[in-house]
Amino acid sequence: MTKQDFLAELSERLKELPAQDSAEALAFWGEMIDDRMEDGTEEESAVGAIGTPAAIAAQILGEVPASKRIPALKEEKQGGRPWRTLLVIIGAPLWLPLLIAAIAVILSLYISVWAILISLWAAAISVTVCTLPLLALAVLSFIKTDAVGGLMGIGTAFISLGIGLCLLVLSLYLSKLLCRLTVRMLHRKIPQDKFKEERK
Amino acid sequence: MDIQLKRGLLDVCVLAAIKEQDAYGYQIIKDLKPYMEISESTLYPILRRLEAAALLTVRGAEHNGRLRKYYKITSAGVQRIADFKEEWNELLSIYRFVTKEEAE
Repeated sequence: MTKQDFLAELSERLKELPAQDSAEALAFWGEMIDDRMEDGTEEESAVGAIGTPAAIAAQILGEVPASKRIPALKEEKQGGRPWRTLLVIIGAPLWLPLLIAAIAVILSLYISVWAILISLWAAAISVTVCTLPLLALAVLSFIKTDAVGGLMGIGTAFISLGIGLCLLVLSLYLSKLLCRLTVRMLHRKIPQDKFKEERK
Repeated sequence: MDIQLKRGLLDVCVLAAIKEQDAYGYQIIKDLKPYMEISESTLYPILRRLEAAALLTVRGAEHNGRLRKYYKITSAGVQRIADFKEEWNELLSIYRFVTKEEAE
């Protein structure tokens, strides 16, 4: 067996152990092989001289208390799968309506936020658009009769324009913000699910 | 020889092997060879036990482009060797007594 194969097999057999213990063991045995080779032994003989990965792993695991092992890394019991699926199906009348309700609540909250934003837009647009008739009326009255009133009217029209434009900018900014947040929420959900898939 | 007894003896042997000078794993095996055959499988748990009991410390040092672990005895480890010698002096006196009794 080559040193590479030996260490690979030993690593596989020690995968239950915490990462540090496993790494220490591999470092030690790798070093033993290297030292023997440095003394002049051939790789295959060196590996043969120190024992089999099976025996070594058995001894190392024997010295480790059960509490230190990581059970999650052991082979998953094949028999468990159908039972889990069955339980999920049986429980459906319970968790399915709850899930639907939760989604509905979240969706309605999200829609209300958009609704507020839409009304803000409506206000902004109407105030801005109002400027035109206001201005027209003001100019007319200025020309026709009421100079002072006309001037005031023109002033009011411009104020209206200012407010309208500010509201427009605000609405635009808030809309962009909401869109960005939505995208971020979605991206956080999706990579998390992908990560869970890999861990299975 | 009794397993527990042998275990305790091997622990002290390893400590004695590194008492005068730090040594790496394979060197300990080579040093002990004239006195006893000790394999890596035996040595590894001993080294781990001694480190856990703070009777020795481990340090990594570069050797020929790879990392080699050197084991260094601690003062507690030196004390352990002294205790061992003390225990065996007592044992020896008892042994002499017992054999003296038999000789008479």
